[in-house]
Amino acid sequence: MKIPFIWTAIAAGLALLPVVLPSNYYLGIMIFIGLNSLAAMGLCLLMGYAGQISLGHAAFFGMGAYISGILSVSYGFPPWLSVIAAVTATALLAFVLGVPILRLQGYYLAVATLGLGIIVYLVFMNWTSLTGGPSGLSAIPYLALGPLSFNRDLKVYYLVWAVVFLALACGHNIVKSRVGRALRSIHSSEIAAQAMGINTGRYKVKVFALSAAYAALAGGLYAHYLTFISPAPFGFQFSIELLVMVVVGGIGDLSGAILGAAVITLLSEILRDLMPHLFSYGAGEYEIVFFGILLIVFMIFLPGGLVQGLDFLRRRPRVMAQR
Amino acid sequence: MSLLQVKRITKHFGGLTALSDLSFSVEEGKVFGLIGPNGAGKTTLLNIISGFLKATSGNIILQGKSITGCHPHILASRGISRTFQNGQIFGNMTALENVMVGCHIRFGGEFLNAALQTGWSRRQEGEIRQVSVEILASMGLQAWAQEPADSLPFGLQRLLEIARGVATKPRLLLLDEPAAGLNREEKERLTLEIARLRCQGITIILVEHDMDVVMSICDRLVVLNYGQKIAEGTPEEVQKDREVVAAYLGDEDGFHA
Ligand SMILES: Nc1ncnc2c1ncn2[C@@H]1O[C@H](COP(=O)(O)OP(=O)(O)OP(=O)(O)O)[C@@H](O)[C@H]1O
Ligand SMILES: [Mg+2]
Repeated sequence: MKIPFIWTAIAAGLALLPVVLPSNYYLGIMIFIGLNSLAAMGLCLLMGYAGQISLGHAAFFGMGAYISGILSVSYGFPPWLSVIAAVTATALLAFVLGVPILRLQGYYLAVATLGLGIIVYLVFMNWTSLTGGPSGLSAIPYLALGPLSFNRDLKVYYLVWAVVFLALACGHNIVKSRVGRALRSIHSSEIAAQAMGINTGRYKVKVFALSAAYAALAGGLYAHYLTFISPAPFGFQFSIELLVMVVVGGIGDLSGAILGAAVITLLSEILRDLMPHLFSYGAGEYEIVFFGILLIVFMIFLPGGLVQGLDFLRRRPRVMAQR
Repeated sequence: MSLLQVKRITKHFGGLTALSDLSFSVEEGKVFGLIGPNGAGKTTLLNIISGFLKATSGNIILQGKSITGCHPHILASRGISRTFQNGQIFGNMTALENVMVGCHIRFGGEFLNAALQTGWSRRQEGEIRQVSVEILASMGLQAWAQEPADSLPFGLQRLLEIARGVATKPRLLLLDEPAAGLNREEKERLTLEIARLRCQGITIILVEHDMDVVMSICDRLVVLNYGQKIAEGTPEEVQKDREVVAAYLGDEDGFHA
């Protein structure tokens, strides 16, 4: 496969980035951008390509984190194995749940996935014997490969971004293939897709499971990076943030999900610092309002997202020259 | 033996009888016309044959086997493809990609193969592309291959939808008013394409209001009115039928068009 120059440049830039970053704080943000990129890419496969919405994707992120955490803490699984098991289990569960859920369309699908997200969140909160309830699950071991333990931000940074690029390559291959065209055909006209012999129901469920697997992989890495998880980050707000990442980056473009994840993760970090200075209370709520507005603005003014905006800027000099 | 048999099909929509006790059979390698005034039940019948609607009663037999109640995607793999009255090209893809989707069932490769880009899946992709380019060229659409499908002129979008259907390698192709909205030149081109598909051995059921197209290309016709068959025969026989003339009287799309 030929890799475009821009991606080589981005990969090289990311590889050298830790050298110039002033502190571990920024390395941590970069790790979160990577994790969010993974989950957003999964959601992008589902939304941007197959045209199916999910307002509950935080649930799959959380399931990846919790299943992996529980397997390694309570059952003594080696962390890498528990991550693989968590991703597999989450994908299987998404497949089974997807069979009835993805029969629904439009608003009904949105509401059903929203409900799924809420239910899973309640399970994290209330199945205390397994999840530790609101106080969470701690002492999750670091990931390790033989003697190499991912116990430092720097090592986790390289691991996470290697996984991001691998996941991007796989996703890219899928969307450029026969499968990708089938997904896009469902987006455009489900009846025409069926007339072409595409089992649309089956494909929708499979891509739902795949997108859940992306989110669960991010969740698993998250759990073994922070070594502590609690239900709060896997609620409705995170589902919406993932959605905003996909839309802001560019809904029809897998690499846009990475851009969107970077922008939204950085913004929410800045907002977290800024909001307490502007408003005396309830900073968390203002954040979601801000993202809501951002979502609307992009839908109206730049429905193709930042990727399309950048593409336009890149082409403009040539368009000008042709005039 | 005939390719397709429609046996005593009845379809109710609530209190409305869209098709009532309809039977006919379609010979292999022929263009079979299905005509009738607006609301006669033509699209409903195509929807039943292609599996998008379930008949209230009756049977559809393809090559001697019942296909009643099969899903559309199963029927596509059994050799039934179709176009849609309101046009359903994939506007988010290029013209070539539309035809490539049409090739879907003739090739393999699911998520895992695609993600890992195995040599096999790359060869499949190459073959899909080659076959699709050929089909597009055979319809005279090669110049539009890389254009977004929804940027094609309307008449060519209709041809593209047929090309996409042909890509599934159908035995039976259902065309729902392919000439609607086309100009004279485009209609002539469409007629030629349909004749060419017949030469390739594809059986066609053609729903069409344009009588020039119908009379020039169809080998046999069934006329529907209010869900009932009021005539069947060669175009010449049907044209002389008094009941048919009566059903069409006052219909500006009718025989006088
Ligand atoms: N899904 C549906 N629900 C209820 N009624 C329907 C449905 N589909 C079709 N009908 C009714 O069934 C009758 C036959 O419709 P159909 O679309 O098959 O006609 P047609 O012969 O294709 O007409 P046209 O030439 O206008 O395309 C009409 O009265 C129509 O209103
Ligand atoms: Mg009709």
